[in-house]
Amino acid sequence: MRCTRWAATLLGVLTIALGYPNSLEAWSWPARFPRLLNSFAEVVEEDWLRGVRILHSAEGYVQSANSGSILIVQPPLLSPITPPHALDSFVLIGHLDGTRTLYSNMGLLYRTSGAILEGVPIGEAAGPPESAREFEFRILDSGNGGYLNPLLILPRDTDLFSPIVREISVQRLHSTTLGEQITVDITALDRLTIGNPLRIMPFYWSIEYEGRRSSIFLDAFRERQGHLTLLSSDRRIEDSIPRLWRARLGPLPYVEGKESIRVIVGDHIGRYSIRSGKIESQAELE
Amino acid sequence: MRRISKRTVGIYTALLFFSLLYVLLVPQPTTDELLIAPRWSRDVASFDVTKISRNEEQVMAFRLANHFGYVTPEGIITHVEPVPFHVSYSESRFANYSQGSSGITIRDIYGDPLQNITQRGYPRLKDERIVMLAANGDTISEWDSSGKLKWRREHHAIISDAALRGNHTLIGLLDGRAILINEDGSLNFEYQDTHPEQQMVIGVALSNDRRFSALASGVNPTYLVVLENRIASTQEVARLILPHRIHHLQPLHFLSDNNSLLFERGGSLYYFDTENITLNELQRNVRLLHISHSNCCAAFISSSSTLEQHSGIILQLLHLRLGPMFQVQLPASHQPQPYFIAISDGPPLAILIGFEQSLNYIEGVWE
Repeated sequence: MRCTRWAATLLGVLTIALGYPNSLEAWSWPARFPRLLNSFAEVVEEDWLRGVRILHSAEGYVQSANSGSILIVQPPLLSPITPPHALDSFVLIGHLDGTRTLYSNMGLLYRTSGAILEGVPIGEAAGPPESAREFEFRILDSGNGGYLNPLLILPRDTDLFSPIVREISVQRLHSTTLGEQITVDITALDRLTIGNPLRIMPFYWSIEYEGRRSSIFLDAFRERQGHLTLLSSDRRIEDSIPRLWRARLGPLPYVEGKESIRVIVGDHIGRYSIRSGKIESQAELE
Repeated sequence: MRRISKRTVGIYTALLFFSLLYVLLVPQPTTDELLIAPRWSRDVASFDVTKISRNEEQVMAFRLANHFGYVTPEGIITHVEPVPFHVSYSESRFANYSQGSSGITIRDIYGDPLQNITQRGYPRLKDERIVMLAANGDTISEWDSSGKLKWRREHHAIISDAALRGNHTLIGLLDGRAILINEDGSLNFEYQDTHPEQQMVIGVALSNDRRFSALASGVNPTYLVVLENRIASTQEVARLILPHRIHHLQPLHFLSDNNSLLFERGGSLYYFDTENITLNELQRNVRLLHISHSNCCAAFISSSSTLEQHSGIILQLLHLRLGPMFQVQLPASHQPQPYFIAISDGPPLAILIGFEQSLNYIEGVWE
């Protein structure tokens, strides 16, 4: 019996020791397939928010944003007669640097105690399992108990969680030795941040062409009754959600033999993603 | 043969005399007997809304799996309605609420609206008081009967639990603080428990006379801390490590005698006596489903499940002076925790038991 306890203790220590070296810096987003629903600036304005709201997809889940140990788990109120708590259901995880992370509006819980490594699933947000579900994520300061801005701590440049451009298609329309015109079709733009009360989602995009970045193009979607529409009129959108938009650029400096182009798309809180596309010619060089 | 001294004989004679005198002059019944009689039963799903009476003064609130309402001791239902989300209630008013709603409407025992509260969050109603735990988790506010804000406090830490007694409010915070708030929102005392490694208060209770505050503090281990609230200061009068290591919030229930603290932990029911500083295990292998207490008694419904015993739902009545009075087994239900209990001193002692869609009212007379 004593040996078993020793083995269990040793295993626990090893688990934490292996996890913690990464923990001080290894923050990851607290969901698989997440979509950010508000910026931290809104937290200041909206009295009912203290963190960021994140949507995870139907096949996604909530995962620990850093290594640590589960401190408190409050499952959803099973009983209709239980008096309410301030937060309906949550998981509170303590980390080695003294911070704590809170995941609230939880539904199904995978884990209820013990040491946990960064990225390990802890449960799912409350809601029907076949749909995307929303939870709130907070980082609590180790000092005076205030809240930290998660968007300054969570990775910013990871492609997974940036505004997603799934695919681009670049076509050369018109080329001369002075320059060329191309069109860029960008498919499945996703995970843009709603950053203000007007429900306008500004984003920028630019292209890199022969090592030089072009001008930054600004655009915005407006959310109306759950649908997104492009504000600018010279680009078109083919669906009520931003799956495709097309921009005509040029003239760009012509470079002989240049076959590809890079498109950078970012939102107003500084997240971006980069996609490369091969230029397909529709017109021969004049 | 050894001779017994006159002094010894005198002592024994005196003891016998005083014992007889005590028995004759201070008679005490060995136990009080409670005669229980069922009075009525109602099916709330088939309740006819046209029979609502509007002249009822004494009502008891009931909360079943899918219904909420008020009923008189005579069995007249003043209001009943399906409840899709949650409801918070007292004996005079109630409010439906959901997570996403931006405000709540307080209604009376007939279901008529009284006032609107423009605060997103979760209401706690106690007697005439309306307290809101804001949806941000760290703000608490109190509103008067006209829907006007009385006070509001923000704590920069998540409120884990709140206890309302009289005009005072005790809150526990997940940064290890417990705060007693006065009627006007001012600070009565703030207590920071520095003992646990993980500082957090995960459950609070306040005695009816506001003399004692009880906190469940920390995890691994969790301490039970009892504070005595004095005029000039607050003093820690008891601290003990609670059995079991669990990672849930810890509800605590101060009973009406102001000394008894009841709580469930790790599948056992415990009773802490603040006068004698003793922790007693009342029952094992139980889960507390609902509790109600009056000045004399506490009634609670618990579920038990062991391999040795027949699992089931048990209703128990605990007299605060005499101890356990009776326990009965309730039928099992397919619905998730549809059991409800409310108790009122009377006389006669009134116990309202809810089960799925039915209400059952029993009365007890002490003899």
